[in-house]
This record gives sequence, C-alpha cells and structure tokens, in this order.
Amino acid sequence: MNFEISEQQRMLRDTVAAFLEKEYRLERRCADPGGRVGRRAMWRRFCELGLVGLPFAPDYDGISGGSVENMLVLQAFGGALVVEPYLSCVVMAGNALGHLGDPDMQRRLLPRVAAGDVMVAWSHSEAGETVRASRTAGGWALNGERRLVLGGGMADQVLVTAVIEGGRGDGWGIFLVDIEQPGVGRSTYLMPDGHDAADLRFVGAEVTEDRVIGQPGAVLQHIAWVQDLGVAGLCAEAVGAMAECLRTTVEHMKTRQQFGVPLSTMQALQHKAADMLMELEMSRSMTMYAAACCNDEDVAIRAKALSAAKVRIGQGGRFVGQASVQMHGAIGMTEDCKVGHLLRRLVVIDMLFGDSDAHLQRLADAGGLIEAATW
Amino acid sequence: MDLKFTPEEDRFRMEVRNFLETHMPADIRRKAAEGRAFDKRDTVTAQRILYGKGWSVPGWSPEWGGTGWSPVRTHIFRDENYRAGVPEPHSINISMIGPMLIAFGSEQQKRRLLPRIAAYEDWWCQGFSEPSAGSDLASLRTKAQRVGDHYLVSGQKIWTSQSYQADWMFCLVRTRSEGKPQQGISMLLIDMRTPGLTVRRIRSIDGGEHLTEVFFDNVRVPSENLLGEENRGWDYARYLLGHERSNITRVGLAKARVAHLKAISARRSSAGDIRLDAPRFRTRLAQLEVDLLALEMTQLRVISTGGTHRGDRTDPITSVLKLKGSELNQEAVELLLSAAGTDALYKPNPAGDPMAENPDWASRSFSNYCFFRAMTIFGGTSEVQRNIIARMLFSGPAPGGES
Repeated sequence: MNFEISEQQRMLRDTVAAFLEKEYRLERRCADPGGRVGRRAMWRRFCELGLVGLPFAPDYDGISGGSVENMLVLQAFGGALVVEPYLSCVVMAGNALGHLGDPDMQRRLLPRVAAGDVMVAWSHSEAGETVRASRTAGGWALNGERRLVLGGGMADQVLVTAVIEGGRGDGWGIFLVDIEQPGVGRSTYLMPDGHDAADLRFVGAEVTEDRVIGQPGAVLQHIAWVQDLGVAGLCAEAVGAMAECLRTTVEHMKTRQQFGVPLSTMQALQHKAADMLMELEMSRSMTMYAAACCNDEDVAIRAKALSAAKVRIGQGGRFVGQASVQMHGAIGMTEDCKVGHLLRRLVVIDMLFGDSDAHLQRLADAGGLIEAATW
Repeated sequence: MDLKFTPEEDRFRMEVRNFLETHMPADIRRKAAEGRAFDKRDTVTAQRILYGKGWSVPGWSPEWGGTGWSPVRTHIFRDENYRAGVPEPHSINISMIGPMLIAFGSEQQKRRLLPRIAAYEDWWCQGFSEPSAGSDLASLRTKAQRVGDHYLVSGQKIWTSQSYQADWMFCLVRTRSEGKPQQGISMLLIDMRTPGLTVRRIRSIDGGEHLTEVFFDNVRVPSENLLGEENRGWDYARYLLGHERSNITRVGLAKARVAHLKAISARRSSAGDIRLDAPRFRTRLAQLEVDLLALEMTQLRVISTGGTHRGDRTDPITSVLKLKGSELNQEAVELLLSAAGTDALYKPNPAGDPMAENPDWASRSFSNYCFFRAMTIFGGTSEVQRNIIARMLFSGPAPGGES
C-alpha cells in the first residue's frame, strides 16, 4: 500500500502550482467575473502547459494521465479557485474521447482539443430531464433537454448521453454534438461559484455515425466510469479548496488582533481550527482512495467507494468553508476576501452529482460498506 | 499511488485469519460477540497463544521479540484480531512500558523485564494521573526522595487501571521541586507488592471497578528501578505520545462492532421490529461506516510511505487520529445501544444489580455505552487533543498543499 506519487506526478503538481501562483490570482477573477474571452485565453494557457491533453495517449499530445493526475491538477485548481471547466472538458469529456472514441475520431479531434482549438464538454443525467436518440437514415437524431451542462457555456461541442428510443442493450448512447449545429439551442449562465454552465435543447439535432462514441446500447458502464471520474475529480478540487480555506484562516488568526491578542490565542477558535484540520485530513484520505478506486473494474465497489468519498467531502467541505467564513468575521462576508468564494465553490461541489445526503441514502440502502459479522 | 493490498499482504491476512480461527478458544471469541468485557485471564490466555507464535509484540524491535513486519502488515494483523474477537493486547505492557524500556531502559532492566512483558508473565499498570493532576499532568506531586541506594515514594495516583491485578507499575514522580514542573519529574518502576502501597478500587458509571487510587506511604524503590535519567521522566512520557501511532484509532475495534451491529440489527428484536429497516438508524450506520473508512484510510496514510507531509513531532496527525477514533468508537457503541432498544433497559440480572454482568448483549449495551464515555477523556482528552492540534497548526509550516 503506497500513497506516494511518482516523480513525474510531482513535477506535474509543482508546474501547475507555480503557474497558478503567478497567473491566477483572486483579483483577476473579481475584476472580470463573467468574462468569457478571458477564460478562453486562460484555457489556451492550460493547453500550452499540456494540461488539457493530459488524458490522451502520447500520440495525441497527452501523457495518458489517469485519476491520480486528475487529482493533482484539480486539487491545485480548487485552491486557486479556477473557474475554467477542467472537470467537464478534460477529466470527463477528455477521458471519454481518449478511451472510447474510435481511431478516426481521435485522429481528427484529439489534437484540436489538446491545442484548445475546440472545447468539448460532457453532459449526462439519469434523473428528470432526458435526451432521446432515435435512428434516422443518416445516423441519429436527438430530442429533449439537458440542464446544467458544466462548461456548456464555453464549449464548442458536447458529448451528450441519451436514452435510445425503443431501447437497445443497456439503453444508452453517447453522441458528439456541435453547439452551433441546427437543432441545438443553448442558454448560458454562471453558477453561484462563478463557473459557467448551460441548458441545452435538442430538436431533431442530427448526429452522423462518425460522431457516435462507443457502441450504442453498450456504453452504460463507460458512462458510469466517466461519472465516477467526475466525482473523484470534484473531491480533489474540494480538498484543494478546503486546504486553502484552512491556510487562509490560520494566517488570518495569527495576524488579526482583538482585545489586544491575536485570534490564534483564543481557545474556542483554536478548537474550531483543529476541527477544520480533522475534516481536511479525512477528506484528503478519501480523495486519494477515490482516485485509486477509479481504476477498479468492479462497478459495485467503485460506486460505493465514490459515494463514500462524496459524502465525506461534501460534509467536510461545507463545514470547512462555513468555518473559514465564520472565523474571518465580517471580513469573511466580503467579496474581496477569498473565503466567501471558496465556500461557494465547496457548497456547489457538494450539490453536484448528488449531494452528501443523497449519496449517504444510496449507501445505506445498498447495505453500507462493512460486511455483517457471521458468528 | 496504489492503495490495493498486495497478493502477499492478502496471503498474510489469510494466514492470520486461519491461525486465529484454529487456535483461539471459542469461549473467548464468543465473549466479543456477546459484548462481554474481557478479563485479565482472557487477555493473558489469548496473548500467550500469540506469544507462542512469536506474534505478541509485533511492533517491538526484533532484538526483543518484534516481527519486523511493515506497518501495513501490522495493521492487517490487528484488523484480523479485532475481526476474530481476540482480546486486545494489554496496551500498558506492549505499547507503553515495553517501548519505553527498549528506548530508555538499562541493559539489565531490559533483560530482566522485557521477556516477561512479552510473555504476559508480568502485568503492568500506569501511575500517571493524580487527584489534582489530570490534563495538567506536569503538576503532579507524588514525591520520590533519593536516600542512598533507594527512593522513598510518598503520594497518590488515581485512575490507575487494574492496579489490583498488576505486578508492576511505571510511575511518574517528582524528584525536584525547583524550576519548571516538567523538568523535575522522573519515572520509577515499582513492584506492586512493595510494603506501603495501598490500592483502593473506584466504582465507575459502567458498573465496573477497574479504576483505582493507589497510595504510597514511604514506599521503598531501589534506585536501579529508575528508568533512564533522573528528571527526564517527562520526556519519556512524551515519547509515548509520539511513538504509538499505529493503532491509536482502534479503528478495527469500531469496524468489528459495526459488523456485529449489522448482524444483530438485521434480526427481529424482541419488540418485533427490524432495526435496520428504520431509515434514520440505517443512515446513521452508513454515516459511521463512511467516517470509519475515512479514518482507516488516514491511519493507513500515516503509517505508509509518502502518506503525510510531516512525520516529525510537530505533526498534529496523531492527535487527529486519537480524537476521531475515540469519537467514532463512541458512536459505534451508541448505535449498539440504539439497536438494543428497550431490551437494554429492563433485563436486570438475578442478583438485582442493574449494572452487573448480564448474559444478554442487549442489556450489556448500556454499561458498554457508559464505559466508552471514557474514550474521549483518557489518553489525553479531546479538548487537550484539539489544543495540541491547534498549537501545531499555528506554529508549524502552513498546512495543506501537499497531496
């Protein structure tokens, strides 16, 4: 059992950290909260660093990055409050394209994705709104609505999962759609954490065979895997944000004085900070565990592991985010202070892909994690 | 980063499991299932069986009987012991006086005492706390006056666990009153049969009498029973705090309790319901399982290579493990009580004492619940642990950032 990261992974982590320290500061974000042009330019910077093509094979300018690489990048992004849609476009869509796309598609598309010429978002939803795919002469047609497509505002294309009309196999397909193509409508917005999202409407949107990912009717397991990568990625981002909350809070407590003494000498606040560290450490462990479990072929084990991680990190993230605002007093309530931004992102993370209550319920109903004794 | 156990580790787990299944007496293992407390005889019996296999002191240096296992193997070994219902090692012997003797004892002390400790021929107790020195242990007042070739010890210890069945005590005493309190403390090894030593048992809220007061009235302790150097006792005690990190969570104990809890809460209770069907109980149980998994992963991270960013004495992770482990163990026992329901309340034993030993796990769950309130008090209260964590947070390098 080995928790160490490799030398190459260490270099990746340090490169990202140095880049963010220099070029991604809170002031820049506050000055231009909705600017899409600025975000596209930043995306190209990520591409220059090789971050966007990370999951791809070396032939396509990647390093075959896996869940540990995802974890390292997203952890750094979480602490820096990166708003560009790395999770949706790289961890999810990138891995889907890199592992499921056929060679022709990969040849056509992956280099352009890695270079930042085209951005592809991922969109899946099990409950509520569905997108249906029906067979046509030229391939497929999509109809329906999909809400809250992460990165859908910036993306040029979207990998959309859809229920196959008339059913076939496991009933699902994955389709690559151009946002600008006929039959696709989009309304974009910012989520409360500053990340962009979109609602998409499909009215007879056509998808030719060469833009179908995997075998329709045999992709549900792959969709589950991509979703698991997303959950693991969110956990990593949350840990990064939590660590930054704690670091910021500790600094604040050392310098801020009231009643003639630094806040760090007040026991009630010391204990709260200790509780923040505990939540961070538990969440850090579960993030590593989640990243490791993404490689597990057993779908049931993976599902439980990721639910457990999402529960712990959703709860821990909310606690740490709230505590860091609390400990900053009124200053923590201002937009100029980083902790309010971190709190918002941590709460959104909890709410995405099933919140901690939902995952806890799911785990409970599935019999939990520990096997009953058999005395 | 690879968090799977290796095939060798899986084989080792099976080896331990098979050994325990075939060698541990069934009556002892059944005690765990029935929630009954182990007594000294159970612990000695079980640990002597392990001693025969060379497994009673796995964490010690091989020179003194240790196995040389990797931390992960040791974790697996302990996990399997909990799972099989084997009594825990007597931690005072194995995790406290043993390692302290190995680190600070004289050759003569080591040769004389360590083999007897490993074989459970001697049972040790710990003389630390006093009526006015609990969390503030450094303020202890039991005096040891050096007179020629011996010390005369006078004073009082309290909360000494099971001193009435102990052969030896390692005891913190004051050998100097000037200067900082921490710098005037020594550690003496005291034979419990020495004249002048009186033990008084204390009844606790769980109905047991395992805690004691120990009175010293000019107790004569040979000077060769001083551990290490005079006035360095506080350092040796602190060594203990940093040393024992490998099972400070007792996460295996909580997991075994949850496994037991799952089995019994799936059965129909005497009130006619199946506890596991109750949504809130089931969710609370799932929450505990999630938290135990997070804790176990953190424990493994601490003991494995590359697990934590700081392995030095400013690392607050030990306190995190102890604090979280104690709270989760309490939650496990609370859920057991919840599963017992009213069966925990109205089955007095024939002697009429409602808190005495009972054959039924449910009626014992109440006293277990009471007993476990101590987990957040002994070994450094949760409040002190939080003080320690905070002190390290504010004095060490900035936390976070590392993966």
